Amino acid sequence: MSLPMLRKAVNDLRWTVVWYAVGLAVYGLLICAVYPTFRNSQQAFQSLLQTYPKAFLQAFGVSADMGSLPAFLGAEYLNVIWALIIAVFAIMAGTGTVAQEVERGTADLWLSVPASRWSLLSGKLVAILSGTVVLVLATVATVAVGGLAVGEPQPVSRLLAAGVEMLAFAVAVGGYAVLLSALSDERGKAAGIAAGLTLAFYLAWIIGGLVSRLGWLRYLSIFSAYKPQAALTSGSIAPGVGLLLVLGILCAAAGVLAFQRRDILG
Amino acid sequence: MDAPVRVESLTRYYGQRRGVVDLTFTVEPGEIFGFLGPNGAGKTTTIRQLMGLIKPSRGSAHIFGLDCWLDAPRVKASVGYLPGDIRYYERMTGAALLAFLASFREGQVLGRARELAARLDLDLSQQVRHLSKGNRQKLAIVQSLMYGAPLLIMDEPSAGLDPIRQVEFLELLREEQQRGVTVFLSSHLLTEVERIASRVGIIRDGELVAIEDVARLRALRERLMDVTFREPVAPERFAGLEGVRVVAANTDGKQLQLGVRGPLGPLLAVLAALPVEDLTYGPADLESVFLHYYGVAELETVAPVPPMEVAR
Repeated sequence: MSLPMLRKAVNDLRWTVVWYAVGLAVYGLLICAVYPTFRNSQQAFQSLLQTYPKAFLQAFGVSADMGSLPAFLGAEYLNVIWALIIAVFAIMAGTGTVAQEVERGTADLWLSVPASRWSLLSGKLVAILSGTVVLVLATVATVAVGGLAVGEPQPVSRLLAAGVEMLAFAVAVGGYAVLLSALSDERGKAAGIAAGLTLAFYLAWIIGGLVSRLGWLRYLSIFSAYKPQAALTSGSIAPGVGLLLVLGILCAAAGVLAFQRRDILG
Repeated sequence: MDAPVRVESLTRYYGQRRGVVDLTFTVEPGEIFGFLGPNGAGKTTTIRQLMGLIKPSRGSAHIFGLDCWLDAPRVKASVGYLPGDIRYYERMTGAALLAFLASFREGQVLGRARELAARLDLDLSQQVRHLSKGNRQKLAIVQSLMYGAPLLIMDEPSAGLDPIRQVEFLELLREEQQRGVTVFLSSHLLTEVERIASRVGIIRDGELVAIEDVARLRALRERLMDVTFREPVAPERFAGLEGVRVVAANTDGKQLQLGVRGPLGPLLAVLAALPVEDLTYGPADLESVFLHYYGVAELETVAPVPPMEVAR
């Protein structure tokens, strides 16, 4: 891995990471701030939720029992909203690695340095991974602070388990974003396909939950393997995390290989 | 010692579209080799293969004995590269960009960069996006020369430079040559290459037309002279002069366009005896060299039609 490339990539990404972290933290704290109101009127909300079909609630990541902070955070923040926000970050950062350099014409200068392509790209990938870890830690810290503030402190082991779930999901999305970037000459095209793929995963997860005969669709979705609420509730890490990490790492490795072999056309 | 550049049967197609076909040439140590051809001839395709940016469809390119595709990182350690139509990271300052590029190399690279920038009157503290086209090109020149690499590969390096800076740039290249640096310089401007190169490879439609010493190239290429007379002069007055041909003449006999190869002396002696009112002598252009290799008929598709009636 190229250290000069890592330094530059970290420098390029730093403000993006800062603003995402601030956004995730503010949103998370807002959700935590709303939670006491929900907790105090829990019976009314539970009655309301019970009027919804169970499959509908499951489809959108809302558990019928919303009486705990992990369940509330899962429904309102971590299960869907956080995943979509981090997917945008991973897609934008991942597709910027190669396709943006080619599209903007900076690849000639970038690849004029005496370093192998894989070392240059892996420098960028480590920078993106570092940024993702910062965003996960910011989220975990937000949940920890929010839990203390509302009088439901979350054990560190459960917070870390949820962090692992979040990181694995981001790695999966970032992995296929990098692969698409390595194969493309246009960042917009790579980002569009990656976003479409993520949306397809989301729809497969929703439809698979709503329509029982299409339940198999859930097995095709990365959202099915991502269970931060369960991790925050029980401290257990779902086996799907391994699948998410394998998917992300394999896609990123394939991206590095594709980049190593591709032409850089001016 | 391995040749700085050795290209053998180098061929590149983009799908069905021709890039370059069967290029074979060698650049010797310490020489400035001009790679000359019109736009779209295949110069940049050749350079991109030398820099390991694209893979040859067939054949090979070696720099100091290393394969340009398979050993690209080691190749680049020996090369200062100036891309054609260079694009930068726009938000970086010139100094930050050079520091980033220098961080991949060993030695006192940044000190040399500052010297070069001062010599070219380039402000490195500005963000690249605020630099004019000329200053961007100066930055490109600085980044390619700052490494002290034994080989420079430059694609249209003086594009965007004003005439004074072009002279300064050519002087820099001469100094590099005196230090033993080899230069591979592509251009579509015959006059630029003539001023600096010792040998020239001429490429057209993806194929190498010839490799010539510059001295022989000067003898081959034709320059156009437009002469206006106060009184009509018969074109036949120039018929017997070696290296001179009448390209065009207007009907009243007062304007002539002559193509001139070789020494000017005999032609000037004839003109001195004629009632010359005005005279312009144009720079040599690439088409006139192609004229030698292809003849007029084939070139009519690319050469502009003279504004005057063609002499019969």
